Amino acid sequence: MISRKIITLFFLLTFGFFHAALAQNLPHSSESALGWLKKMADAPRQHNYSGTFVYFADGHMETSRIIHKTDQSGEREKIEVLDGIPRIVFRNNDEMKCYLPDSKKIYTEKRWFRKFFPNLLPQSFDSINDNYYVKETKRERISDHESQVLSLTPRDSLRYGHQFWIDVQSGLLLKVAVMDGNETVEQFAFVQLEVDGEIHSDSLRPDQSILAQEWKVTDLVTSILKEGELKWQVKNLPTGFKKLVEMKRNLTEKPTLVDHIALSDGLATVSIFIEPIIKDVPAPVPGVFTSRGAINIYVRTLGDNKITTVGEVPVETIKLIGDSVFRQD
Amino acid sequence: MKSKISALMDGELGEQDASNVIRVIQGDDDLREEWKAYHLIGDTLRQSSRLSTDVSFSVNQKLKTEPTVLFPKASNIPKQQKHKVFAFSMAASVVAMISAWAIMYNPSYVPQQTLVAENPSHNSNLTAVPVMVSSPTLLNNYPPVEINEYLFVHREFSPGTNMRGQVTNVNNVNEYSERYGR
Repeated sequence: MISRKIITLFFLLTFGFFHAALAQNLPHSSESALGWLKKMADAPRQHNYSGTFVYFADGHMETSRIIHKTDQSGEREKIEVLDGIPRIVFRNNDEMKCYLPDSKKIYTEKRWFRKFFPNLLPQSFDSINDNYYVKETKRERISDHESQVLSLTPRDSLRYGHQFWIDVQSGLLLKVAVMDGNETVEQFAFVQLEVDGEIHSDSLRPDQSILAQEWKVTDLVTSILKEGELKWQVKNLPTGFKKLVEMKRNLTEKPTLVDHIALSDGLATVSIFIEPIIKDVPAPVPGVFTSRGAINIYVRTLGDNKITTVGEVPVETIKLIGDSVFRQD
Repeated sequence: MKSKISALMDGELGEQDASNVIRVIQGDDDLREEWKAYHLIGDTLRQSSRLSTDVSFSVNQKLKTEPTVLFPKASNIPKQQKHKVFAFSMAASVVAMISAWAIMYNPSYVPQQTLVAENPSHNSNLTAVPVMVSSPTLLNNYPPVEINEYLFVHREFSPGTNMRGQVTNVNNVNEYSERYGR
């Protein structure tokens, strides 16, 4: 009687253990699943689209309107945030112009490294399979479009999982959910979308009502540095994270330049900002903080400098990346 | 005043405004109740596993009224149960041995990083102290305001980024883990 119990318990526990151990060793993603990613990455360069999408995180919802045109001259886009403080972003290939009608401010910037909904994947996304197990799960209808659902399960605990809903016809990303285990951390989803419709170039330019006003233009100057030119470097980065770019840049309100290192694992992006601690202002508060959605923030000091690490990764990863910064003499 | 409390919770008030509102809330029982109710509503909407209800009063009352129960010393555990305990501990140790073997010989096993909320030791004098969720004084422990700027630059003004003057919604992780148990 007792021995039978022991055997049952033994099998239950060992099965549980090996199940957990195997979860760490996910197989290589299938070619057809990676094929969907390729289709998704190419779609914004092959299709015009316009529609309305929502961002949802922590019980907060925000609606935006997007118009996207692609032709010989590249990609142009207008995104208008419709809830809360008005904000209109114009993108012309790598250049970004953000209009804030309430404060009559314009921020301009060369856009270097980020990808945003629905244009989420970089052109080369080979590293995604190294860090995530990509799997086709099911078909679902989103915004009146038939979509293929892909799940991207992280291969370790250093990043969040993702779910992609990809338009079967065009390959456009219709919906994305960032997952922490089974919990959804944030989502973007189209609520209305028209693909391959006619888009006039005028609709991608600021209209007369905007141009007629007086604006204060702030150029978020960025100077890209060569590898190792920055006196700050990162070592022993968490698995899969690579440095995208290192630069000196200004921020929206600050007169001095800050050092900025951007990293990515192919999907999640992390920024490290380093600036000297200014005397006579309250000392920075070190610690780990969390913002809306998938964003985590880690503040630490090193000598007379403050290092702030921001990114869409779990708390432990943001801490590991922030702690990897050292001064190169 | 209610709209001001709501704005305070969303982090929309300036420093001066915030401390004024906190002072008013402290001196007014009704407003304090209002503050608690807003938090409870917020927690419910976020489907938080822990709601910020104030249970201290009812628990205190319960403790006062409950009689003290004295248990006899539990010495007579039946023999069979002792066998069971022995059997379970045997099974557990066998599993532990196999697990240890598997961990040692599984080259891809990476120990999970521990969840970190502490600060570097040399900054211990600046430690952000964990504060009760519903305490308005937590506002002082918010990180520097330029985090907003970092967020814009990091997310490049994309939808989903909070704009200046809007909700800051940056919480100390101590509060976060307390609230969400993560």
